[in-house]
Amino acid sequence: MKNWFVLLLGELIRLWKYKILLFGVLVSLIWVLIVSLVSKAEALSLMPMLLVLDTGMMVIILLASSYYFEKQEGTIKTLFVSPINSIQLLSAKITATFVSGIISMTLIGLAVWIIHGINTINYPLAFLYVVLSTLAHVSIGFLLIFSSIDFMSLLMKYSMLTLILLLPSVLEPLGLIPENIHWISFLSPSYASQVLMNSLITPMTSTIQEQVGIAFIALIVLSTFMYPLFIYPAFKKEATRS
Amino acid sequence: MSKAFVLDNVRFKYNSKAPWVLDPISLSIEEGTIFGLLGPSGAGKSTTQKILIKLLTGYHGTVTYFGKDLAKLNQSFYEDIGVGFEFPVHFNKLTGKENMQYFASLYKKPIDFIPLMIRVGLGEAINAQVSTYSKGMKMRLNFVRALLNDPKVLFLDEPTNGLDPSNARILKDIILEEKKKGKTIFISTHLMGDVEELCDEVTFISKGKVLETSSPKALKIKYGKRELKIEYAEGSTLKSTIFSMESLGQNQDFKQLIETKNIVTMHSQETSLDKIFIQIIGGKTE
Repeated sequence: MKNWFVLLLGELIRLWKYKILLFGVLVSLIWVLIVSLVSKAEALSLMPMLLVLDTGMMVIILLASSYYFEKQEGTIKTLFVSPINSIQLLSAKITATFVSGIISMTLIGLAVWIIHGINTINYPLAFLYVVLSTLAHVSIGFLLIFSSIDFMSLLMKYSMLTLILLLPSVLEPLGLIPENIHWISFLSPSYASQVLMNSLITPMTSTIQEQVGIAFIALIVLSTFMYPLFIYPAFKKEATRS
Repeated sequence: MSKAFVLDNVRFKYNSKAPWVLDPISLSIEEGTIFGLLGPSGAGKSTTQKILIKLLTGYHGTVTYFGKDLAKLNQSFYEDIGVGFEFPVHFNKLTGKENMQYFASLYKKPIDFIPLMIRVGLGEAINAQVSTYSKGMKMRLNFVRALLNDPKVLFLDEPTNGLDPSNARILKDIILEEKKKGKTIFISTHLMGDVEELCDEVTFISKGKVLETSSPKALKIKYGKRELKIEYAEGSTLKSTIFSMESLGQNQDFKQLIETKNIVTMHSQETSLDKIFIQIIGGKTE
C-alpha cells in the first residue's frame, strides 16, 4: 500500500511538473470565467456539460499526453523492474486522473456558489459521478493509446472518437434517436456521464431516476469490463514491448 | 559458490506465429561473478535479459534464481535486483535527485544515493533538471538508479556506452567493487574492452543459440596464435620476425636476436575479443 501512495504522489508531481495538471486547471479557470459571466440559470445548466467535458474528452487528452511523455522517456520500463506490481502502477495512474476532474468540480462549484449563490448541488454525489465518468473515459483513453502507433495517429482517432461519443448528446435533445433504441445512447460514456451530471441540477422524477440508474450501470459495466479484459493486459504488453 | 541463475533449455517466441527467438538456450551464472552475454543484434540477448528480470513470461524450459523457480517469485524479487537500461529512463522535468528519491522510495532498504551521484560525477548536477543532462550524465544516472536498492544481482546493458574514458573508468571501478562485495553482475555490451576487463565468463549467442561459453582469457588462448612478434632496428630499417611461444626459452634464434639486436617492440600474438566475436558468430576474421 505504501508503494501505491508513492506511485500516486509521483504521478501527481509528474503531472504538475509536466504542466499537464496546470493545463487542466487553466481550462477549469476558463469555465469559471464563463460561469461567472452568465446568468444564474445559464450557469446551472452549463455546469453538467462542463463537468462532462473535463471528466471526459479533456481527461482522455491529458492522459494521452502524460502517457506519451512517459513512453518517450522510457520510465515505465524502469518502474516495471521495481518492487511494485502492474496493478498498483496502473491504478495509481488512473487515480491521478481523477484529480483534474475533482479540481474542475471544486472550482466550478465554488464559482456557482459564490457568484450565483447556488448551493443545492449534492457534492458527494457529484464527486462519485466525476470519478465514474473519469474512470470510464480513462479506459477509452487507454484503449486509444494502446491502439495508436504514435501521438499523431492517436489525435486522429481522438477526433473521430469525440464525434462518436458526443453524437448521442447532440441527437437526443433533437429527438433524432427513436424511443425504441434510446438505450443505444448509453453506450457512449459521455452521454451516460451527461445524464448523471444533469441529474445534479434537475428535480428527481421517476424517469430521471430510471435514466440515472441505466447511466450508472452503463459506466460501471464499461469500466468493469475494459480494465481487466483489455487495459491491464495491454498495459503489461506495452511495458514488455518497451 | 551457488548459481545465481540457471536457464535450462529455455525456448521463447513472442507469439505463436513468430519464429523462436531463443531456440533453446541453456546457461548458468555463478554467484559473485561478472557474466557477459554477447552476440549480434537480434541474437536474443535482450530477450534473455527480459526473461531473467521477469519482464517476459511464457517461456518453455526452466529458469531458476538461487535454486528457486523464477516464474514463481513475486515482486519482492525486484528488491534483489538492479537493472541499468541501455537508454536513459528518467523523468526529464524532474531533477536528478528527485528522480532518484522517487525510485528509491519504492524499495525497502534504499541506499544513500547522494555519495554515489557525487562519485559518478553528478555532484554538481544533483539539483539540475535531467533534461539539462548530457547523454553521458543520463547514463551515469541510469547506473545510480540500478544501484539504488543495493542489489544482490545487477543487470547492466551497455553501462559505459557514451561515456568518456575517465567516467567509464569510474563506473568500471564501481562494478569491480560490487563484484568484490559478492554481487553477481550480468553485463550485455558490444564493447569488447569492457568485456575483457570486467567479465569472468562470457557466453556468445546467435540466432537464439549458445555458441560458446568461456572466460575471456581462455577464449583468447583458444582462438589466438601462441606467437611472439618482435620488431628490431637494423641500421636505419625496422625489421620484424615471429617466434612460436612453444619452448621459447630454448629457441636459439630468439635468444640471439634478443642479445644482438636493438629491440623496438615485442607483442604476443593473442587475438582480440573483437576478432573472436566475429569468428564465433560466423563472420570472417583475418
